[in-house]
Amino acid sequence: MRVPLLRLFQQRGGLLLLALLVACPSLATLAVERRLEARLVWATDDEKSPDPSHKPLDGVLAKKLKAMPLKYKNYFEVRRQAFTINDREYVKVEMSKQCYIEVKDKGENRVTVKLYGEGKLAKRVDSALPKGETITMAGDDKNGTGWLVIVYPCETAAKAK
Amino acid sequence: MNTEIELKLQSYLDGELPAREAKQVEGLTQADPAARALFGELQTTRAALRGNELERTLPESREFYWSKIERAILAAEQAGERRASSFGLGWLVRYWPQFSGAAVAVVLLIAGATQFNWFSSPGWDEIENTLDDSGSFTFRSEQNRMTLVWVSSHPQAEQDEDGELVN
Repeated sequence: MRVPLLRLFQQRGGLLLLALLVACPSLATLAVERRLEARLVWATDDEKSPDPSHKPLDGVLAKKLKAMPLKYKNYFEVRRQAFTINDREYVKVEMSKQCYIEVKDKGENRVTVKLYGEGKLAKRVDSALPKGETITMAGDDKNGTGWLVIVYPCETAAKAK
Repeated sequence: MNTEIELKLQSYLDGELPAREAKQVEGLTQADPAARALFGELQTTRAALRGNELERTLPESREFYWSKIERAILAAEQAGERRASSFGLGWLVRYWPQFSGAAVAVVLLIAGATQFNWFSSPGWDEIENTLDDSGSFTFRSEQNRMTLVWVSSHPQAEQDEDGELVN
């Protein structure tokens, strides 16, 4: 039996509109959120980290870092944080007691990452961050070691494990 | 005989004419046979209606009959006032398409305003300072799809007096 659309709308139009009212804000909110992951990595030439909680970095991220012009032989993961960003405000992600990042979605797969050390802005990076892409901010640490803060979409995280 | 004379005859019969006109019409009824005939016919009709009018009796007393009408009028007025002052859902049932459309428009406006910052002041946009790039350099590897930003200032430790980094 063929039900005319007009009659269906007359009978169920209120419910359809109510569903639209409920769904619109939810869809709009979901549409712009992105799931990212950030890692704090300690770089050194030593074979082992003095901190037993540090895990040697392996997988795709380790290969990528070893292909970069960095002087370090080994990389140890200090902390990993998964988080969700949006285009309305910066999301703060604590990487260590002294270091945190703020990340905001700029749309069209672009993000802004602000790196803070001791509460001061150390670096701001605006870059595209599509699937498979990685943003790394790095610097020297004491005794010839280094630190890295690596940000990437969560799809990359699955491959990196 | 014209209509005006006919009406004057009727008025004379009902006693509604002034004395001067009444005398003129009385003279007319005596001088004009047609006027006299019409006057006689009107008198006969009036007498017949007065003597044979049906008497209608009310099923209840006069006071009770009019009190019913009064109560009905008061009830109708109070019902009107209740409708005017009530906040029932009748208006919603009647105008739900208009209200639904307006509600959808408001929701879309709010969603657009929050998602696309329609109403944000352009002055609040962030400005990238070229000084941010001082003391750092960027290396890009397309093969590895990695952007490396080397920051010379340390975010986790500060230099002490001897130039050594401390946590």
